[in-house]
Amino acid sequence: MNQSLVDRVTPIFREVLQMPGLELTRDLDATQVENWDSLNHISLIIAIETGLELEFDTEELHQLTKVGEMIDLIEKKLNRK
Amino acid sequence: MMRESVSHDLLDRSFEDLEVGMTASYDITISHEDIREFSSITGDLAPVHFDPDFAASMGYRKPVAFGLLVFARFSGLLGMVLPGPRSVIHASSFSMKKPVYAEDRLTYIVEITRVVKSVKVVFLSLKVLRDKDDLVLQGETRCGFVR
Repeated sequence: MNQSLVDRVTPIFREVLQMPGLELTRDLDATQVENWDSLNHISLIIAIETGLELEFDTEELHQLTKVGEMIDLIEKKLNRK
Repeated sequence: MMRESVSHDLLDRSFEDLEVGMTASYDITISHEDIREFSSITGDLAPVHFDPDFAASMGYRKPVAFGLLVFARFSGLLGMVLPGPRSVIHASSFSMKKPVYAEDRLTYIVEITRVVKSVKVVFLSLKVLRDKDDLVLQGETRCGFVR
C-alpha cells in the first residue's frame, strides 16, 4: 500500500471509529473491526471525501471490501486530480 | 390548549431531487399538553418545567419547555417534507440559544447544506425562531437514504 496515503487515512479511521490504536493493513475489513458498522462506514466515507477532497462513486464503493482496495482507489483518484 | 394539529404534506422525494440550499419550514406552538405528555413519556418531572416559582428561582419568567421536546418537533418536518419519508436520521446535534415557553409561536426551518452522493447522505442546518426572528435553537443533522 502507498504508505504516505496510509499515514493520511489512518487518523481518519481512528477518529471516526474511535479506535486510537487501530493499524490499517491491506487485508483489514469491516468484519475484523468492532466499531466498523454500517453507519460508521458512511461516516468514514464522508470523512475521507472531506479530508482528502475527493468524491467516490456509489458503484465503486460497493466493490470495496478491504482497506487495501480502498487505499488503491483513493490513490487512483488523487492521481487523476 | 390541546396539541396543535400540523399539516405535513408528505413529499415523497428521491435522493436525486435534493440540492444544497433547499429549505422547508412550518409554524407550530408547543402547548402545555405537549409538555405534560412529553414528561409522561420520558419520566422527567423536573419542576423547572411545571412550577412557576421554581422556574423563577432559576431565572426563568415561566416554566420552560423541554429542550428535547422543542428539538423533537423537527421530526415531522424532516421525515415528511425535507429530506422526506425515504430518509432516516443518522446523527443530530443542537444547542438551545434561549428558553422556550409553552404557547410560544415557533417557526422550524431546515436547509440542506451538503449532499454526499456516494453514500446518499444529506446534511441539514436546523433553526427554530420565536416570532419569526428570535433564534431559540440551532443545530444540524445528517440524514441518510436507503440505497
